[in-house]
Amino acid sequence: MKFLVVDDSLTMRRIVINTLKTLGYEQVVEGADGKDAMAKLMTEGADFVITDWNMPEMSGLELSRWIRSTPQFADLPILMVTTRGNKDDVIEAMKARVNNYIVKPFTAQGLKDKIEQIMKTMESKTV
Amino acid sequence: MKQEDFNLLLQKVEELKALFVFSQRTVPFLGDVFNFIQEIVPVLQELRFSMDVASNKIPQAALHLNKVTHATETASTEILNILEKVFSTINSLDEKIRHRRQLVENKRKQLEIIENLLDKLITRNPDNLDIRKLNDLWKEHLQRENDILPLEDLSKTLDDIRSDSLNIMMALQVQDITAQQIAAVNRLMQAVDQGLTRLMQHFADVKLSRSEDSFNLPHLDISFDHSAEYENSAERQKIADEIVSKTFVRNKKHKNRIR
Repeated sequence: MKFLVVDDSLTMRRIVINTLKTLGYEQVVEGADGKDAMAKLMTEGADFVITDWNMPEMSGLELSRWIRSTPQFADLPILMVTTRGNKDDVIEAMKARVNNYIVKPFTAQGLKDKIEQIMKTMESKTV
Repeated sequence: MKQEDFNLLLQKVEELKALFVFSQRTVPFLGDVFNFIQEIVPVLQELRFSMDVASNKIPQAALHLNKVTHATETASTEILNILEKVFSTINSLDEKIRHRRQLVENKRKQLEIIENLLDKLITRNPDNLDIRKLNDLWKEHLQRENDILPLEDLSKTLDDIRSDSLNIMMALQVQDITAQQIAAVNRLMQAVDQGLTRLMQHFADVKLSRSEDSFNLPHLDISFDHSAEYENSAERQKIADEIVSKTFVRNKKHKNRIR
């Protein structure tokens, strides 16, 4: 499974990527913001998107909306990883049809649980 | 003079009288106003000076905060470099332990064979002292082998190191969160600075005593969440999980209705 990790903070990208590696996910592509992520999806593809919210050029929310409105990527699982933890933000993200939501700072176990929850949901949809 | 002229004169005198009465009432008030203006001018001058000074200091404060963000980013990068090496070393040791475990298992099987053979030798030669001595030495050797730290303990220790390293790495999220908090402060200072600059323009033609580019610094233009916090986010995650869960249930019900 190939992950696309999108965050304007290099530190955060490295944290997420290293955590994915300890969970056994070695194939990772990085994006520094929404626009970069769009380009990476078009050129390199991905099976799972983990994105921050607050980013320059194009936010994670805008990226999610673009993914859902683009037929070839519409079914990609999206996990929002963000400092935004209030109710309205979560609702807005769910309206943009992200699959799940994790608040920073998160634990490795927390990230693992969210990824597995999403995968389980995707599997039950295909059955 | 005609009667109308007298009437007009009287009217004008009345108007003049009214004017004097009005002036009598307003003069004290005007006096207060003039006194107030006299007192306020030095205060306004001091205010202008303070605003000028503050306006120069704000970009300096922004620059210092920018250095803080840059320093924490550099430190985080260095720590991450070391942690990645640690993870790589742990993975390498893990691999060696797996290989060693296989060798140990093969060795254990050989030891079992030797033990069985020795038991048979003793049974067939109960009075042979050399064989008994060999058996005792063998048992001592086996005991020494068992006293060597088992591979399971080594494996557990590596797991603990990996877990601790992972926790250190997760704690580095503080860098991203503090960078956002600093960006929020910088944005506030920028707004204050802009407000001060507008006010300064009211003080006749005031030239800014600093460059207009003072706020044009890297790390000041990052996207940020103004309410970013570094605290154990379990409570906030709980709120998010509840909403996500409700959304799933709602969507599932909706799909079932369509079917």
